[in-house]
Amino acid sequence: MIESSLDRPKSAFREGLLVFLFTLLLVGLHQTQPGMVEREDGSRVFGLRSRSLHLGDSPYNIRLAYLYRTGDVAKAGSHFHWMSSSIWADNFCDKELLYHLYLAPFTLGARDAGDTSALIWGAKLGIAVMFAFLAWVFWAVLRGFGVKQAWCYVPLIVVMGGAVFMSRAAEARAWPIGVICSLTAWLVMARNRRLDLLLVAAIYTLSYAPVHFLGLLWLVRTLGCLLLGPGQTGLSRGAELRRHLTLLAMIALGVVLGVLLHPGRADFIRLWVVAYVMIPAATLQGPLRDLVFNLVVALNFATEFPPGEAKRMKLGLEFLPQAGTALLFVGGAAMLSPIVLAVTSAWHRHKPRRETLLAMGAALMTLVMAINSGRFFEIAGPFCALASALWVQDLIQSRRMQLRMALRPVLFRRLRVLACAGVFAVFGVLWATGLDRYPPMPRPWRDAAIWLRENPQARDKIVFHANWDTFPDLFFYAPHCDYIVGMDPTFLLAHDVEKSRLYWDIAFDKVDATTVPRIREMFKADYILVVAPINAGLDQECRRLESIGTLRRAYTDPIFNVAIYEFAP
Amino acid sequence: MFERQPLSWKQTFAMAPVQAALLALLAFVATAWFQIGPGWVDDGQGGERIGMQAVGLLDVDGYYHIVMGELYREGRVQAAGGDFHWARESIWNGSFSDKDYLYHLYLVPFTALMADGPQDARGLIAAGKLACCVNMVLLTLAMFGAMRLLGVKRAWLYTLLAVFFGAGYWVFRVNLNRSYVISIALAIVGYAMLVRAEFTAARFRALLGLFFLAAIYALTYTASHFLLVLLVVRAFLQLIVGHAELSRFAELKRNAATGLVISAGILCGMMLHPSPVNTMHHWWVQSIVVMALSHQDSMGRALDEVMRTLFSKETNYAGHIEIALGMELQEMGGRGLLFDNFAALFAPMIMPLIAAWLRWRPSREAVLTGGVSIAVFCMFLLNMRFIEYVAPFSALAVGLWAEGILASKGYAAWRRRQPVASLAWPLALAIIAVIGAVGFWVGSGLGLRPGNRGEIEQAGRWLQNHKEAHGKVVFHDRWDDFCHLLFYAPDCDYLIGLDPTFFAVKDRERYELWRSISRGKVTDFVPAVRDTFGASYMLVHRSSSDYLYNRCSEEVRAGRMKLCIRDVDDDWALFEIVRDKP
Repeated sequence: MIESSLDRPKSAFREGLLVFLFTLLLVGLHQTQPGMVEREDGSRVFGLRSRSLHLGDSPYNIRLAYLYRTGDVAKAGSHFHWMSSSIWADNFCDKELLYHLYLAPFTLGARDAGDTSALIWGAKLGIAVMFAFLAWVFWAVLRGFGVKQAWCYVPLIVVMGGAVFMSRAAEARAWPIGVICSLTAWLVMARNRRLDLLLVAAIYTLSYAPVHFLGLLWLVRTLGCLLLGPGQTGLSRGAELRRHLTLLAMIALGVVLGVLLHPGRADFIRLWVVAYVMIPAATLQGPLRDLVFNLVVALNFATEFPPGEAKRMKLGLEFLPQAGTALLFVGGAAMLSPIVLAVTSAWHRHKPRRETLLAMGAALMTLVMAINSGRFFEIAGPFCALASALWVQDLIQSRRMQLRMALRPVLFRRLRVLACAGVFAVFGVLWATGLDRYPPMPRPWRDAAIWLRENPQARDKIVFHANWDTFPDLFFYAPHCDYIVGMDPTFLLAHDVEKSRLYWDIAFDKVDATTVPRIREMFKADYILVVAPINAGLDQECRRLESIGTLRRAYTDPIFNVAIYEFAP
Repeated sequence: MFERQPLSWKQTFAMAPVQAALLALLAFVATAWFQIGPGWVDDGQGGERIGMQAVGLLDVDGYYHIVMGELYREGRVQAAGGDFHWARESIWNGSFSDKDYLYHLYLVPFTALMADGPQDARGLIAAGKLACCVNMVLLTLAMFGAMRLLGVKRAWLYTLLAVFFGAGYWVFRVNLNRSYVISIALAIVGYAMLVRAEFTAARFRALLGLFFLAAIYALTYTASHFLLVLLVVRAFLQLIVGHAELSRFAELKRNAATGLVISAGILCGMMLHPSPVNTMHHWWVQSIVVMALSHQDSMGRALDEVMRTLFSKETNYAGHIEIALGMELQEMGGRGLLFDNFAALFAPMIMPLIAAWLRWRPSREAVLTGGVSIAVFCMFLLNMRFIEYVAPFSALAVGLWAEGILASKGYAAWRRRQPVASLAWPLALAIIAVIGAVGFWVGSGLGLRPGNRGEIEQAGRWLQNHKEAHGKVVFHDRWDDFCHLLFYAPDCDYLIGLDPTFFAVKDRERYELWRSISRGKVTDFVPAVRDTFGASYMLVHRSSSDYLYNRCSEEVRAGRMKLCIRDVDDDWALFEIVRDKP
């Protein structure tokens, strides 16, 4: 049955549609997690287990999309007042503009800013549609490279990306557009379609700021072409280099076009430097980091950037490298595939085509990125899958392999079925693991944020929060208030070193009698949000100031030990 | 008469014994440079002079091993028998079996040659350094020999490249005075013998060699089972790859027979050990329990389940024992992997790519050895210390692949098409790799120079110089202090050394108590230290627990303890526990 279905000719449209719909269904199930739900009276009923968004930036993205819809972002202009102590406060430029515009239609179900439930379901639908589109693009790129039965290889994205890809895929974030553009760019570079490349680069710039990744892909491709020689193109290396330089110029033009089309074009470069030069540099050690910081300051992208302060910032977990057991389990397939495929080719004396080797070069580059920083399995997964698919196709189509297959057709048919079954089984396990885990629950500070939203006095006031990663939730539930910093603490450091110093002193419980007055003075805060299990020092100090009447406790959540303090008039 | 032609320089250097001798000389000189660390030192008169910057041994275990060699020489270990009183709370006390028995005997001549008794710290350190140099010579010759046995051309080059594949951490590890350096040599030679045992003509001699090698392995180092691991990995790969003449089943049977010979050799080694039963128990603790405790959530759980199901024994290795094992047991990954061990990481990807590009069908041996080197690399990802084996196995695998590619028709065709480029590429890669190897060795040598003879040297010397302390027990809050303490004061007894697991396995309650005291969680610790552990002295580090360190000072003021000696930087202090007069 499966054997015959593998060989059955299909129309591309139907195949593509099925890939899209099937992915939509699987990601939809992943997002909603249908199953038995326990009611308050203890009875169990079939329903949707996942009713919140996964940890991370999803709440921020969907809320921003909503604010785009209502025109609040346009009204704020370059003054992103929601992060009052970030470089966004005065130089806002939405680095994921197109992604937020994409999400905007998914917020149409929300009646008003308080209708967070509709926003959550909208975000979940947005995630499912985006991943269905990503799978479809991957399938289309494979078709573009002439891979037969391209749909078979689509689950390889998850197999190669592993658990990290699955967990990143659960969030409403802009990186899938980056992956889509990268895959498309790889295809159009292979076909030497210059205008298409320009367009892709412009779309990339508008939807996801790390557009420099296209430059890396170009570099791998160019070096690979120069190393491997002209191949079937018949071009000399000089002509090849000229052709590639033209492609690079197209990428650069596309980026310039994207920046020019961006409403916040004036601040784009500064934001890009902080987000993609300073933040990665902050994860480095030693003189290289200092050199980068000094350069950034010299170029006037930041007034000061002390390495000591940068060193003690706790950045997102996504920047941590993968190690040991985790690396083997997460990246095992991605690391083994270049070995196994190359050994198989060598064993069968199959010389891979140039395009196959170039794709493998790109895959290895993304793998290095992923080993260095776990989050990059989101890009390593699709590129390793692309390289593997091209390699397998190349191997199958080789003359020797065709001969062997003709000699032992039954064995090779079985091998194909087994390989497909293996890929789908691993995909199924990874997918089911994601489905089976505990559904995301609201964060402890959600009720505090709802209190802020429901309290008219808090409208337009600044809330100090000592953990930068609480921002997405606070912003999601109470967009009428302003906060300190979010998305990444480097935005605070680049904005004001002294504020950042105080912020991290509080985060590390270095709190004294001057701390709270300085919060008032430096951050102009009206409220202080304290999550006692995380900010023990600040909690003690606020309690002390409450007892002497300097602060007034406006809200308490005894279960999660969260409080909001208001400065006494 | 036939006149013998004089050998040209090229012919002389092509001779294997000459290459081996040169490699041995290079290994000795390079290690001696590393161990001595020549450079500018303080001349004590405000100036500088050329001298030895690396005055101590690298890491702590080297001190333990060299002093054990000395204690063997004096017959004190033999006199102690199974009662290794130096580590009172370890499973060694009462059932001692020296897991590095043959290595310690091997160190005896070095101590005899270089030191004047156990008090001669400088002489013993010099003996340890000399042993490191000889270890490196043995390891180099083992790698070279194994490569020659497997038919790798230019084996000398790939022997040198082991440094490139192992990188900085390997250079550090092979410069420690520890028995695993011999284990690496035995493993790589053992692997070559495993391969030789597959040839009918050489099988008997290879099996005989494997038997003796396994016995020596078991007497020298705990992980003699590594030979069996290599065999299992190779046998598994053989099942996949197949054999041109033998059926898979026949090959499996042959491997099973080889495995039996190795097992017999290991068993023989254990039986030859002065205390065979204890050796087996120590092997279990060292190889299985330590691994379970270093991976409590995975291995720990699995071991608990196995013990419950097979032996009806309730263990609790997954029970999150707070245990600070050595750094070497940590997992490897991330930036260290990319920037340090990039050669070992990417070689298995790049070599087959080149082979496929040049249409060279790799030999069966290249595929099998490549597979084994990948398996060893995976072990390294799980446990950093396995870098020890990554370097020689990667070098061997790359040697087989590279020489196979260079001898292939595809490469010959390339030579014809592009004579310059085809010569320049491999030459450039080899030069880069050699420069990398030299860089790793020199860089590590410059960066890793122990500027002192142990942080707690003065505490150890104080104990040894005060006869009233001899025979008494010293409570120490760090298990890795043991090596220095035993080195400087072998006349005292201590609690635990080399691995805290030996304590945790012997008595969990006492272990928890020791840990609680060391972490400053026990307010009134003096009675427990004095009565439960029977200690008369207490060595405490400020960094272990500020609270405990300050409490000790309070106890001195209260008259329950006496200060013996305090570090000039106030990082540690040695106290005497005042016993009530009867």
